[in-house]
Amino acid sequence: MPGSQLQRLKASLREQGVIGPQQSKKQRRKAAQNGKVNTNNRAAALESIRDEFNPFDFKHNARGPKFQVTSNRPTLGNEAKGITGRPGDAKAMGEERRRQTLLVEMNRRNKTGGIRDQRFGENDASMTYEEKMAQRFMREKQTHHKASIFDLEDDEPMDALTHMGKSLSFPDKDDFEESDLLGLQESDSDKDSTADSRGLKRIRESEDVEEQGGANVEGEPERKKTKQEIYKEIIAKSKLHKAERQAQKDADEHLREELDEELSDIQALLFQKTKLISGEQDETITKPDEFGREKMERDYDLQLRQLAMDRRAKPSDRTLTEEEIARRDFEKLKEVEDKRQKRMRGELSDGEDNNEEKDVRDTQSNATKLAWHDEEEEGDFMLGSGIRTRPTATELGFDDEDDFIVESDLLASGSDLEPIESEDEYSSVKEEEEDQEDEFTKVLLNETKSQDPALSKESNDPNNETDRISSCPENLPQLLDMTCALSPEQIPILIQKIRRLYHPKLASENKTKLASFSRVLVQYLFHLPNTASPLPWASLENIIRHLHSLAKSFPVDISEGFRSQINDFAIRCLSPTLGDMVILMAVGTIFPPSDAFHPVITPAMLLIARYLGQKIPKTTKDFVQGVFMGSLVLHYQKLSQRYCPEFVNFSLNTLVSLVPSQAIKKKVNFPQHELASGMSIAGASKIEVRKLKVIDCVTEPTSEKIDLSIRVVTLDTTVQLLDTATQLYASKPAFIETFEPVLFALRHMTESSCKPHLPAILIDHVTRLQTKLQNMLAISQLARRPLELHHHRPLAIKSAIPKFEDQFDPDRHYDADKDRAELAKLKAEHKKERKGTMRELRKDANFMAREKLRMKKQKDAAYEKKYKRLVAEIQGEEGREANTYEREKQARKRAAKR
Amino acid sequence: MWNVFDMLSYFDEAPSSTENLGSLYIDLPKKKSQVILSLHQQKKQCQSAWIALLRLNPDRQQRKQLLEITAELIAPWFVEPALLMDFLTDSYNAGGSLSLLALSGVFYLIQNRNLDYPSFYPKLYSLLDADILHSKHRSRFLRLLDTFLASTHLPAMLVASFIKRLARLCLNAPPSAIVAIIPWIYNLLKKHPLCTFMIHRVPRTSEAKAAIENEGFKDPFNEEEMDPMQTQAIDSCLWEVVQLQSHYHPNVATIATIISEQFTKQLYNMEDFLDHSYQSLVDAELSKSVKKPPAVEFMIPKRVFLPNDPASGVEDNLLVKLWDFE
Repeated sequence: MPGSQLQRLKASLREQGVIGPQQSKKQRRKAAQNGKVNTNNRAAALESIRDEFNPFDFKHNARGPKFQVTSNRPTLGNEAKGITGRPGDAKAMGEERRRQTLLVEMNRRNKTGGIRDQRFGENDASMTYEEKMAQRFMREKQTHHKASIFDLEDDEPMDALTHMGKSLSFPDKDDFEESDLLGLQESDSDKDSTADSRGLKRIRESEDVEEQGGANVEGEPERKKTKQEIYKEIIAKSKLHKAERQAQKDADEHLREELDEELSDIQALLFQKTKLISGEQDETITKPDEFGREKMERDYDLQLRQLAMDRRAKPSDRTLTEEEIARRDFEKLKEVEDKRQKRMRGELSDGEDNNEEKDVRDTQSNATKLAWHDEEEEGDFMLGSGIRTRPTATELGFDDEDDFIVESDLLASGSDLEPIESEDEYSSVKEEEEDQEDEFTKVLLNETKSQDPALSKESNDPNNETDRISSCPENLPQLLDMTCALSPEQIPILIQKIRRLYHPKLASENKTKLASFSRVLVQYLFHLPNTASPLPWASLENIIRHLHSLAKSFPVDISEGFRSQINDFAIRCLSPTLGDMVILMAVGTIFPPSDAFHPVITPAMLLIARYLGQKIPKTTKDFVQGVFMGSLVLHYQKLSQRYCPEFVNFSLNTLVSLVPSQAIKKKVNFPQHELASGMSIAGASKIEVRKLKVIDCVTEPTSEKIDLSIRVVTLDTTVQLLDTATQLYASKPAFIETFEPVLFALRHMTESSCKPHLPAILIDHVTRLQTKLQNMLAISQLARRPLELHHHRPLAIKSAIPKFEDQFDPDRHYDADKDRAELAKLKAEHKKERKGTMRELRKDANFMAREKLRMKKQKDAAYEKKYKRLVAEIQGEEGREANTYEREKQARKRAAKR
Repeated sequence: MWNVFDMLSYFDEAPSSTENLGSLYIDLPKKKSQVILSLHQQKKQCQSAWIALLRLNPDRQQRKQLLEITAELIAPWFVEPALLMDFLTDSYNAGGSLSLLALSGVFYLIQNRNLDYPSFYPKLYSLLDADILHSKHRSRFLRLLDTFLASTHLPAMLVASFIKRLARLCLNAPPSAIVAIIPWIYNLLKKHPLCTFMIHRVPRTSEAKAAIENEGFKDPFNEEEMDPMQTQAIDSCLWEVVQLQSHYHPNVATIATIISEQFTKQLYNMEDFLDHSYQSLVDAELSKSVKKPPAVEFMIPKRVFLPNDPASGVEDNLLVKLWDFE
């Protein structure tokens, strides 16, 4: 706590040696030798003290504030009085700091030196890296060891509290004063009015003591006690208290011991019930020996702790009624469907995709940059509301996800309807396969068990299955090794087993294993149809379903797997294999093909369209492939109803190429392929129309008859596809333009030149589609409206009205340009710092000059003094000699006179 | 003949002045008036050589090769470019890809040699057939077309015919063509505001409104009409482009939406859109890496290839309906 102004002045005067106790002659001489107080210095010291102790030396703006401003910040303190600085204080402080730093450095200049021993510390070449680091750490610890003042570990005494660099306690003065103790009324006038709190406390204590003590000495006149008396009283009191406490504690102890001895009886009462039940326990309890008691106590503690640790009972989730379950499922499905719709419209919420929706205009230098806008406003301009025959969730069979019974032995924690977790899907798949497994087991029991290690366990020992599958396959050859001995029907079982064995819940590394397995499975899905014959569609289906459920846990891995397959397909785009077709089919099942953009669906769709657009069919096989691709297109676009020009082109071309006779050339808008020879159907009226087989996509028909029948079926399938497409695209604005050529082609098929060559059922299909199309075209024509795309709000003209700042503050800079504002701020800061540094440097230089001058003066003075002394000495000596000489001379003269 | 073609096409560009004749691989004759030193004479010789070559009645393939270099290499040698006219107009009238190739030559003559070709635009319009957007000369043609229709002084009816015709063709075009056509349409609409009625047409009279309500809006565009001034395209609407807004490829669909958004951009740079192909689009899709987990279909279907149990009431997917997976 700072003393009063006067006290501080006294202290600093004393420090400077201006005032002080009377010094003896010797002391003064000594001081003079140190150069502490001579008149010059005395004056300087006084001046500095005067400066320092003039807190009223303020700096004001000479002509008041520069601008009259109103600020929303209240002005406080110095600012309110217009004080911009305290030069006296600042100067004194600066001087002091310089004396502590710069002066020390100056004095030490050219004087300090030493040897740095490089053998120590981290520079030692022989040290290892760790040791070096340890050394460095140690050093840093030492140098930065700026212990907290509250650090109890610290041996050094606490730094005294300071104020403005001045110690608050005055070392030469004891702060304990009697007057403090006895009351403020007697306190000296120069005493600070706010006596320290310790003092106050003590005062209060002493007053208490006095009061208590006062009872004894009642009647006696009020007498001031001496310090000694007070302390004695306090000590006596505290001793008394202590004794009382001790006695109390002893009594308590005694009581407790008594109680402890009786405890066994009490416990017997308490645990009467348990005693009845457990006989052995009661033995220990009744035996009041030391061991038993200890054990009992321990048990007691244990029970207590258990009780404390027991989780408080929570009300469990109520069992839901059927309606509630149905509602919950419905809501869940609705949410999923909403999400899908959103994706279909391309409205993505993530920030990642927002990057993509940069301005279209700037980004189209190449295809990757074709920015993909999120919005499709087509809905507003569609003719009519469109036929949205979206089946409800239950129709689609959503609920079969939840119908299964969660098996108790399954690892999955029956948490239901969690789309991310694979558990329920897993169990659903498993559940379904249970019935299939039964069939398999029957088959397997008849077969030799030893033949296949992965399957033989199926029948008898399910516990032993871990031994059977040696490892989770990490690449295709491994999986092929595993499956080579299996019939295709057994493959799904193997997969299921692998999934069960390497379930992510069983071991932490299983997750990566299953992820790589799912990639392998994708490869296998491509591999299997290419190699196996006949095609095991049931197994493929199962694999796809497995992949689907795996895809929920490993979406990235599975999609990467499919993308790499699609990438391979891109190379042989125009001659797809069965594997490619299965992959495309799987893609359309596993991933939602309605998404506006999807990393797997989009390239797959593009490749299908590419096939349809670029393939010019020459053989029956090509046509069948094209029809398959066309079916895939419609399958993909079932929900989103996106338009695919290539599909329409290919279908039209198929119709044109396969019909028995060519129509009259008409100007059409689709590019007509050159007609392949021998593809037109002739004399097929007796041929039975069946379904197309996928195998026809890759095999050349063996005989002319089969070839013809396949072509007829292709034509029929194309007609059916077009039928589906008309429904799909019925609401498209250019439906008329798109499907008029189809109508022409169909009309041609029913004409007399073609009709006799085609089977009746096909003709029936054609006529039905024809009438349907005619109706739809008529409806579309009726529904057609002129386009009104630009009912936009007119663009606003750029406003030039200045922006009004609500909370204007004249002290702030309002720069709309953020960069410029930042730069200005930085510049201002730099300028300020620069000026500050320059000022500091100038002051440093001044200080140094001053100090040098002072030192020089000191030195000069010392020299002068010495010189004078010498001169005086010499003069004294010479004067004596001269005197002697004079005296001698006089004596001689006198002698001569005589 | 082929050797001659190779040799003649070896002299690339015609020198612009006597100074740039280049070295002649022989000692220069002293006389100034020597034939060989005269640019005019040289050009004349070259011209006659080319004409002799053209007279040989090249077949279709050779014609194509000749036409490919006509504008850049052959025409500049001609002192009298009118002599090329017959060859070019013949080729232009031949139709198909020959017309496409002849186009640049004809354009050269029109632009630099003041050739008057009165039925140029009708002819150009007739080139817009079903194959044009599928041909390998597509981008070359579109570049030229962009140049031909760049003028703002063309009649709006003519421009509208071109717009409507190309929009119609887009309905059967590959995505790479669509992405080029739509910005081009945008540019034309921007240049010819009269044509914007094709995308925004509000019936004015109540009778017209009633007629539309009752019978629908009949497309006045006459596809069969060969003269672009007579097609009535300007009274039509671009439903085709709106349909392409739901194209299967997201980028194409996005580009198609520029027609229905506010026309704030001045012009699109056509060069950004011309050189796409299926391959480039596929590459672009596959080169993107999958960063965030892609969406997975929520429902696992019970059947993929095999028909559903009829009792379950679940509808088979399209492929199962049409195909036999046995």
